[in-house]
Amino acid sequence: MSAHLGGIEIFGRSVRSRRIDVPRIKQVNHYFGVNGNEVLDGGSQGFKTEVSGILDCQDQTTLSALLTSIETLKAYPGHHAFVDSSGRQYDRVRLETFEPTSEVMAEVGSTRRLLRYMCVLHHDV
Amino acid sequence: MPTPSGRWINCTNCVFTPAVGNPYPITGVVSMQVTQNGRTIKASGDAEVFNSTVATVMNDPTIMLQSNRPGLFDALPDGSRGVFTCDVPDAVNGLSTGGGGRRYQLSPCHVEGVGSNHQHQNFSAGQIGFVGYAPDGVTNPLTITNL
Repeated sequence: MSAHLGGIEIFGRSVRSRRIDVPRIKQVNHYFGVNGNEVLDGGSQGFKTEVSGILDCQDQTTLSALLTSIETLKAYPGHHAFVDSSGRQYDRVRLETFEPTSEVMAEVGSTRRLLRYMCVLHHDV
Repeated sequence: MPTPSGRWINCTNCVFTPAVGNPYPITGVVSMQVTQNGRTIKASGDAEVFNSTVATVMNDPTIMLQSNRPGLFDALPDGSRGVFTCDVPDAVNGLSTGGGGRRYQLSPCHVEGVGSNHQHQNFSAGQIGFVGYAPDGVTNPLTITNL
């Protein structure tokens, strides 16, 4: 199943995702002469999903258009819906980073273009 | 002329023409290996049990030569640049035009992996690699021509 963000299939093929927890905000107080710490819970900051895969496009024009769509999603300050490769849906997701991790690769004897990437999604709760 | 046999034997006319200088024949060739050296990327994703992306994204055409006259390679150090050409005769018709022989040309190419092997009670042997490259990144430096 293909993963997508904001209704756009930006993740290509061979998608791998990994959840990364973000520690809850805490205020830790210590009082002189008193053993131990006082911990005040500041609430959750959500969590992140790290996604990697390969953009696989029929030609350079298609790849460029897809990268433009990704930049638009990244620039949008609001939330998107995210569906991961197992079909699970998350709302309130922001595209934090999207970085190529390879050169643009051309398949020998065709116009096909491939690009490895890694991106980080932030889930606000 | 007899029908080409479809078999080749004893490569000949092996010549390296440096970018600057005269053509340099390489004799005593005992084997020649021609490979495209394609590099294929493969990748799989979550819960996949086969690669979902496969693409050959690079070629590194290479011709490896072995000669029993390794001293010839003294003049061709690693990094030499030029054009390498070699003919492979048809087993029946030789190098006759239309006879089934073929010509390999690697242009441009550079020299890699020059070395020699000296065995006891045997002729010494040397090897040399000609590795093609494409200044424009897309033109295949290896051409194979039927003679």
